Amino acid sequence: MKNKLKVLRAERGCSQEALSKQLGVSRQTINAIERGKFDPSLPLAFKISLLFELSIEDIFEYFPNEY
Amino acid sequence: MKYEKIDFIWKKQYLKRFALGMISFGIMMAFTLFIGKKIEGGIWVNVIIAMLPVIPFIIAMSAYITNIKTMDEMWKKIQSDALIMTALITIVLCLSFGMLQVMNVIGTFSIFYVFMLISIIWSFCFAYTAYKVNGLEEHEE
Repeated sequence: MKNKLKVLRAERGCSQEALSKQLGVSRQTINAIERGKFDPSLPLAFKISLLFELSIEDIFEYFPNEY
Repeated sequence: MKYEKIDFIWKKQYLKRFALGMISFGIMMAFTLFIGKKIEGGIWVNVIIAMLPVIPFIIAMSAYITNIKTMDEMWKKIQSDALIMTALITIVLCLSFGMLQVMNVIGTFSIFYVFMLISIIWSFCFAYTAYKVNGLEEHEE
């Protein structure tokens, strides 16, 4: 799933390590989400949206044809 | 900082329990194979000697399971995908070998080899599933 996590993180000057600690996941998870290799669960997606103060749809792009 | 400390302490405890289990397993295995087999004490003594390596192995595996429970969702998915692949590959191989034995193409061999087979297959499956998600790229900021 495409997402703007890397851009949002860069705008806030936050490293993957720092973001991963705030979300309670590993740095590799943040890396995988940013590269579209791993889709976060709903609770994690909500945590991300709350952290960046944006809606989930503003961060993640869902394309039905992907699945 | 608190997250780092708790995580570090937890990892240390898990590693201690896992390492202790695996080391004990190795020692008990060596005892059973090289000394235990020579002891003559009847069937129940043989059962106890045979089960000696199993107990520390169970301790090591319980540490592994506990560690999986503390992993984040991505690593849990990687582990479960690897275990599913391992199970399927092992089933196919056992079926194949079983059929070859039925047709007398190959002889019988110890079920102990299935344990080694699963361990090796799991290593490859875990490396593969982790690579699919993480790739080989270095730390990215």
